[in-house]
Amino acid sequence: MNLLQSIHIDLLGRLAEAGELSRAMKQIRVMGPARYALEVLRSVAFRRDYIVRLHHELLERTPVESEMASWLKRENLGLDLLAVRAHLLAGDEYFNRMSR
Amino acid sequence: MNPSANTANKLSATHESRRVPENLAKFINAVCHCALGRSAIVEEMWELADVLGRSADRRSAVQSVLMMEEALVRLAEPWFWKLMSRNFEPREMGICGERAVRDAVRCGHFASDRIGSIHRTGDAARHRRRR
Repeated sequence: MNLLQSIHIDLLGRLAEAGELSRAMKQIRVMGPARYALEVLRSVAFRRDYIVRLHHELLERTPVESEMASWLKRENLGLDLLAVRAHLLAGDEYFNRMSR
Repeated sequence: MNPSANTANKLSATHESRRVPENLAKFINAVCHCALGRSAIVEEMWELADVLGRSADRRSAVQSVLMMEEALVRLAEPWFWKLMSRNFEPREMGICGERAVRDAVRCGHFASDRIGSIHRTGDAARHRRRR
C-alpha cells in the first residue's frame, strides 16, 4: 500500500483514490511495481501534466487542445519522455523563439 | 611576413570560415542551456552547427545533446532517482552516491557485506560496522 501511494505521489502528485486502490493493488501484485510505475508513466493523467509542464518550460505557453489531443493519442503515450522533449526542442516554434 | 604572423593569419582564417551564423548559435546555446544548464563550448557549437548547416536536421542535433550523459543526469526527474535508489547497480554508484547506499541498506535490498565490498567508506561502511 505504501509503495502504491509512493508511486502515485511521485508520478501523479496525489494519493491514489479509494476507488483506484483495489485495482491498483491487484495490478502491482500481478505485474510488479516497476511495470505498474511504467503504466502510470504512460497514462493520460501523467502525460497531460508532463506535456503542460514541458510546454511552459520550453515554449512559455499552455498547449492548445489539438496539440494535447495529439500527444494523448494511444500511439504517442508509449513515447519516452526524452523523445517528447526532443520533439519540442527541434520544432519550428522553439527554433524561431530562440534564434531571434 | 614572419612565420608566426602567418600562422596567426591562417588560424584566424579558419575561425572566420567556421563562424557560426548568429541565429544558429542562439538556438544551439538555448538547447544546451535547457539540456545541460550551460552554454555550448566551442567544439559543441561547431559540431552542432555542422549538423544543422549540412542537413538542417534539427532533430539529430537536439538528440545528440539530449543523449549526452551530462544531460541525462540533469534532466532525470526526482522520481527517477528515487526509483533508482531502490535498486541500483554497483557500476551506477558514482551517480547515485551515498544516499542511495543508505536507502538500499535501509530497505534491505543488499546484504550489508555486499554494500561494504562496493562502498567501503562513508555511511554504508559505518552501517556495516554497527551491524
